[in-house]
Amino acid sequence: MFCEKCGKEITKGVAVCPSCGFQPTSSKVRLKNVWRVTPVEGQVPVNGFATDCVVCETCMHFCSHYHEGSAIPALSRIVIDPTEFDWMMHNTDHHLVNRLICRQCPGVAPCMAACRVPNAMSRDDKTGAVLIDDEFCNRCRACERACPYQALWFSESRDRMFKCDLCGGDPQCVQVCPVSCLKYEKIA
Amino acid sequence: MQQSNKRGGWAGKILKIDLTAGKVVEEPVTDELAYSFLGGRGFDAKFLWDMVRPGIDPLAPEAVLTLGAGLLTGTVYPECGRVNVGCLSPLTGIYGFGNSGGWWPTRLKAAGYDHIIITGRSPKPVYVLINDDGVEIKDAGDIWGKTTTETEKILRDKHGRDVRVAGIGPAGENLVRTATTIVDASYSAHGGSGAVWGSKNLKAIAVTGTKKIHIHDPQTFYDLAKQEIKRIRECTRQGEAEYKKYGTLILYKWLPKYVGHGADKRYLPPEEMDHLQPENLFEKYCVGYHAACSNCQENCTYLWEVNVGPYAGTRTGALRFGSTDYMTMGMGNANTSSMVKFHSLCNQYGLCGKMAATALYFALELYERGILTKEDTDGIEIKAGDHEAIIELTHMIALRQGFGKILGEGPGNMARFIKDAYPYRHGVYGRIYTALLPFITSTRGTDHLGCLETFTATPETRNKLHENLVKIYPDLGPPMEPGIQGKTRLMFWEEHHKTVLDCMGRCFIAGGGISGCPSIGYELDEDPMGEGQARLLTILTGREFTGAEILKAGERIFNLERAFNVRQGAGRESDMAAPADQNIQFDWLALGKVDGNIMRQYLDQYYETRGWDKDGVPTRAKLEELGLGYVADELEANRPYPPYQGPPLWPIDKYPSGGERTKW
Repeated sequence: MFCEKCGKEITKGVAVCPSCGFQPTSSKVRLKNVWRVTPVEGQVPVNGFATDCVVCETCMHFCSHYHEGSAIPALSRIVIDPTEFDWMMHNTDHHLVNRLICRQCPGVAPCMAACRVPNAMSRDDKTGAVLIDDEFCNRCRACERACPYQALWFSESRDRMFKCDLCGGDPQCVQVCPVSCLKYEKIA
Repeated sequence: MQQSNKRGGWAGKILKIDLTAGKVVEEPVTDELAYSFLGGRGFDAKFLWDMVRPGIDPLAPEAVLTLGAGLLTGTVYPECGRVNVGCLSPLTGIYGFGNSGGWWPTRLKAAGYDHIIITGRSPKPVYVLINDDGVEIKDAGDIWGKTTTETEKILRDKHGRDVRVAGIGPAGENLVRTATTIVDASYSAHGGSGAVWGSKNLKAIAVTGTKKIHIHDPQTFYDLAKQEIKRIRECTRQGEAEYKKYGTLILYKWLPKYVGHGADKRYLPPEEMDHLQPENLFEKYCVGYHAACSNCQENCTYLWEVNVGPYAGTRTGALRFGSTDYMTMGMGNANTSSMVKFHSLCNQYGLCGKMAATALYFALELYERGILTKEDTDGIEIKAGDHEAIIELTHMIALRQGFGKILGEGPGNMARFIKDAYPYRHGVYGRIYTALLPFITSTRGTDHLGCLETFTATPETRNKLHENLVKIYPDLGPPMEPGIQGKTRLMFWEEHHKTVLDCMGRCFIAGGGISGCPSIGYELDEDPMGEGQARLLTILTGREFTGAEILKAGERIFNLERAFNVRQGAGRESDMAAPADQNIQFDWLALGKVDGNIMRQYLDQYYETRGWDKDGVPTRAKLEELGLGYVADELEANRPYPPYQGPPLWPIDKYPSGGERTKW
């Protein structure tokens, strides 16, 4: 990562910049009070079907309506991507569902570390959610490449980044999931 | 046009694809069309009436295929992710529609289209790609001949993860008349429509998009959707919990004697029924969780795998009662792994399981009667309980090989190819067997989905329904009469209600189906006029709707479909169930025997209630009341039409055939 003040490279997670003595603002590095939406633990895809994801996309519909005003699955901030076609064709032995949603990584999130645009990314005060400010974002998509979980993406049609903002502390997807396979939890 | 921009709910555009010329045209959804026909099945009825001339070959280039998402599809309202597929059916020769779930329908709305109309015939195999960049007709050389799962996989890998695919498998390419449109590799629409895709050289439609649908009051609508989710979760109606657990397979428990009322003989001994109980099926073959249609709270479909036995390695989704009942209960087959295999083959080849199994069932009956012999069936002995023969014949149907060529013509048309088989045919319009009286008055041939609940409801529910209906229809007559009369008076209401649900894209399971969690937002007997539905549409579209107006739209669509059938030659004579079905023993409903005379009485009563004439033709007064004056004009100018003879069939060797046997 780079110092926000002098721009020199600093070690990740360091509290004070060795060159200029600048303390990274608390809005970027968040070690405590971070919340996230995540698939419920202990759900092995092959067993325990009663509470696992059924690929109904209800979360995607409600997410996109809540944020965009109309249910558009392609513009959802959580993506349920079935791989059942691979499974049916015996390409894989385990039938998995890719669930792409931001982990809100505590500490320095990889996307925030990759972002070099001042003020473009910040942490939500209440939930610790990583937020992108479209006013400042220059659409370089460095965050998209940096994310190890493919949890944020760029929409050509809307010309902005899409990522989970935890609905300001009231995640809609968790409320509407018919099998309760999503939970809202404090991770740090 | 300005008005249309403000209208909520509809995406606002209809996509017309002429495959002969390779031309794509967009047309706006006019207010008149939208408010009179709502969407989905309603638009299908209107377009097919306007565009299909009577008496044409359903597999000719001038035939029309329509696919449309419902009005509520693509919104946040739950359990509305459905598409209606309409065509002049090559299976029955009359109006054909089918309603399918899946993820594809919501993508169609997100792409900015309410409906797709396909005409013409492409010179070479093509598929259609619809996304934000527009509509493209692309060469399908590399996916032609592939199974539905392979097609879905290839197109999703090529065009992105949000793409969903509706299309056909090898059966549709071979113009098998029982082939169907397969949506998202697991969900089947109308049996017959697959051959229409094939005749147009159209393999698939891949859709994605990010267009916004205008909603008049998005916040209230969102709150109502959440409220509906709460209602569905808290629904404690009888059977709801079991239904959520087992899907339609629960009917193996509820309806153990259902299949084969037209047949003289039932082949599965009662003690073998244990194998088919949903608990046993789940323990043996269900691998993990289910996959649901888009935005659904019920999740009635699961994923299945066979690990041992001759069918080991079979993996499939969405196993259903409807697609497997004839080949298990009907044909005396208690081998449950063959049931999963059969379902998988139907999905992969793009066959309608219901129609293919009915054809097999009919073949078994003919074989038992000695009308079919080993020479006719290429040496395959068709006998009760022989699952190997069933699977072998399913391959042959899809690839149109040997005896499969005749089976592929569908249960009704088969009788026209087999000498002496004609007196034994079943149902009406060459579809499934007649198991209940209301089956015969559907607009698509024998149909178990047209009207079932009112007919089988308890007297209390019916009385309550009657009380509410009589406020709108004062000359409805007394509530209960002995026999079928009292029921017939209420049936037309359910037919309208279900037509409206098809227009909304709403699932019958949520909307008044087997699980009994009915109507949009409200209980059937509490809100039969659909006032809750009207309020929902008002919030969605910004135009004041009333419940009576919506039911009227259902009636309009139903009458238009009937008029379409009249144009195809349907009438009183063809409405009667085939002679073999005129002696039905209703032992699972304790209704006793129903013979031809009762059926005739029933039809008289039904026509009278509907305001049709003695021959089952909607009268001018009725049509004008529904705003269908132009239909009355056309019927009056051209009647009588040549009587119904079934669809025009091709010489059996003229069809394309062949392809690879799928290993899945």
